Amino acid sequence: MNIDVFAPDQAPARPDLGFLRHRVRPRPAAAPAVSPAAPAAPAAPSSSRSGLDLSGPAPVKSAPSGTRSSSLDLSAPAPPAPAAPAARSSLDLSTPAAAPPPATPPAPGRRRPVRPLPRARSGERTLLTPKTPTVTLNRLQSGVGVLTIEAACSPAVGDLRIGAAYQLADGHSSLVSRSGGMTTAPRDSRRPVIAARAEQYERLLIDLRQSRQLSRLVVLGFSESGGQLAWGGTLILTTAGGARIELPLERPASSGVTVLLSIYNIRGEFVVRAEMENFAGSIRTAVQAYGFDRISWLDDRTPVA
Amino acid sequence: MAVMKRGSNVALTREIPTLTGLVLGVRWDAGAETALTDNLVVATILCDEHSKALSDEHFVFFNQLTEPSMTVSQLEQAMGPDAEQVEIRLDAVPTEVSRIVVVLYLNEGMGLRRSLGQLRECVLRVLNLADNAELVRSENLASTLDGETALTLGEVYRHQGGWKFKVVGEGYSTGIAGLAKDYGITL
Repeated sequence: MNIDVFAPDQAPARPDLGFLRHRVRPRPAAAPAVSPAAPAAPAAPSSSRSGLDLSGPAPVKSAPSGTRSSSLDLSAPAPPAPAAPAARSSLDLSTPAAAPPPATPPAPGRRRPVRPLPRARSGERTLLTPKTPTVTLNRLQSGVGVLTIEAACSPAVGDLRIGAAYQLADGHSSLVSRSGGMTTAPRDSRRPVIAARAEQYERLLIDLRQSRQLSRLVVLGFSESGGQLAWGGTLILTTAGGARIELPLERPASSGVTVLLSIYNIRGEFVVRAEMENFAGSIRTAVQAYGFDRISWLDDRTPVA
Repeated sequence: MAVMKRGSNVALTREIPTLTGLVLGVRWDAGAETALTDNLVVATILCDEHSKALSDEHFVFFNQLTEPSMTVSQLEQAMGPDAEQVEIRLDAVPTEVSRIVVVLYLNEGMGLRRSLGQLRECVLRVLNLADNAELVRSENLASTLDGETALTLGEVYRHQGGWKFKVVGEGYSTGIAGLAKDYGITL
């Protein structure tokens, strides 16, 4: 995505940020003209800051207006606005926060997608392979019904269990798996975001009514007894609209814990990626390698909470 | 305040020529049935003249809070007594949008079988976006519900250069799947 920081009116729409437009509530005339910024202000692009002009209740009403950049008084001792596009230039650690660096266009190259990311199609099958390991679910596929993750494996594989390490939007992070009886995420929740079940096969269900509460998860496969698994079969993800994503579980026999797949919630869209990475150690080792460092552990396979 | 029955309509912009924006508020009461209300979803569909969604991006709900023109937006946190609120800037709605339909559905959760028939009350209100004044409200749409799992609540549509509002109140026993099919949305 090529973002010109000098032309906010041409920036792509951000349908995930509802607070970018908000109703102006009627105020009593005597009320001080505080910033009309939306309740969820932290990420609002500089509106709260420019709204601090106490000289008059200027109608700073619609966020994506073309006058935005001119209202950024550079002499003000404010840190650069936390707008996403500007984040890169504000990473210059040598500059003290008091002097906002002149906004430069984002550095070219590295993070610009070379080709469009593959998308899941409802009613169709997508095969994840080493060459095409990722697929993205759109906002409807990521927000309607239940996302089912099922390990279709024959008994020949061994005593396979699947589970997931997850992180919620509020920061809570833990493990969900039928192994150890941790069948809901959060644990003992009356309204779980993720549930571990078993029908014909082991499965994880993600309640997409709560998709905004889920930041990320990695799906794990391991032997319940700690033995070796003779890998085979397929991990199948299914959406409410019948998009089907298949990951062949084909790799050499192994013990330890294998991270099969990751799902990241990127602005309301679930990005699914095949991982297929084996760790010789414990569940704890595997999920720590994926950056789940906020989990407190009872033992190597059981979080405290 | 005016209470409108199913099927009745009102010429909003003819009655109030200065009207430039609306808030559609949905409120419900299911008593202690939180397993029901936790899974209710309000969605707004921007349709063409054939009552089909312009695209899947024109389905506004909690995981897609607005659509490409940003004239219809759902609030993350409703103001006042409504459970959910959708704001419509009528004067800026693109011409290809003929109809803006508000629906309610039950997200099929983790195997709990519930239906909208468990609702005691379900009301759609129309407010003036400029001052939050209530213009009209529907009758209680829950009274005739039984096994339905989705419901078209009402719609705002173009008529003779202005906008009208109509209370619909038609249920679906096939949930969001049946509703999406009717409006040409790919889930």
